[in-house]
Amino acid sequence: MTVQFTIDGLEVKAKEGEHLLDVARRHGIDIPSLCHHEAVEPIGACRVCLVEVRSGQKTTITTSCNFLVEDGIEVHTDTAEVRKHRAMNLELLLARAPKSDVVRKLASASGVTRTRFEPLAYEPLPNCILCELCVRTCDMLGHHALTTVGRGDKKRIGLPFNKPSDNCVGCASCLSVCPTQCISVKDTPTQRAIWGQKHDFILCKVCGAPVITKKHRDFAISEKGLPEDYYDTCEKCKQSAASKRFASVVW
Amino acid sequence: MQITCLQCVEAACAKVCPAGALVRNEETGAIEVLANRCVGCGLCEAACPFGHMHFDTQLRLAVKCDLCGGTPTCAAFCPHDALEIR
Repeated sequence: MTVQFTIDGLEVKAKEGEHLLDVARRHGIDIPSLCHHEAVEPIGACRVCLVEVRSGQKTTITTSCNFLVEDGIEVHTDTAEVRKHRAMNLELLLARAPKSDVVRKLASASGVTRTRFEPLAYEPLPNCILCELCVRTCDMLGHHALTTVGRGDKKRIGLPFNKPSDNCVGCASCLSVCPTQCISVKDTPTQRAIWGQKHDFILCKVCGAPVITKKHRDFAISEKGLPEDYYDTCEKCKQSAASKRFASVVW
Repeated sequence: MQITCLQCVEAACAKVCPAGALVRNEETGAIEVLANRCVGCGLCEAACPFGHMHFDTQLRLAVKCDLCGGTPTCAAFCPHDALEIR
């Protein structure tokens, strides 16, 4: 079913069950966010994507990423109230991730350049804002390796019980999606170190360059069904082999 | 870096993508990366048999030839007409 409503005065149509942030962005209305990713379910963790939703007599300030659109609502993305709450949330995030460029830029766009709160020494993941985008992505990929560990101000992201886990395949998608890029991944020519574990790379059968981790390949073979030899050569060697093959073809 | 692509009918990159981020543009026939859906796992780069998928280590996203929206600049630029689209 289609629902119809307005965002900042613009009439928009959307499907029932869609989230407000996705609809707004599709219509070219930018709402800032940190923990939103189209490939995973939104949870409204970073609280940056706040908007004001008016429905009848009721006005609420809510996160737009996980707000399901409704017929007839009136959405405002840039009112004084929205700006006030967003600035407050960004001031809190700035204390948690004081060295993150993306947080500092967003905060300064909201007029927040310093924080009244005590910055956290957030070891071992400085600048982690606990948005769990890495956890959600890891779950979506089917690895289920990451989780939150501890409670209250001791809460951190990590492997369950902070112990080595077989579930982590070392794909580093957690780093790829992390809004503050706070996850440490160290690659050597033969191994990847991530979450306190080391993963052996498949090495290119031609030149010996790393391709992907063995565990990642094994997971891909079991899930996606492409045979092993798809993963045994690096990008560059595959290119040159393909070029030679095509050069010999007479069109 | 060579950034061309055969836009395979049964594309290994799209087959392995766990996030549904590689989809065919029905107008141009090109397989395109939906950057907002890509989670940067690098599986497509490893799986492409021709070495035509790339992983941008700065953006941490998959990058590939999208046929420049249907009119490839490489073919238009080539002064010897060695490249053509058909």
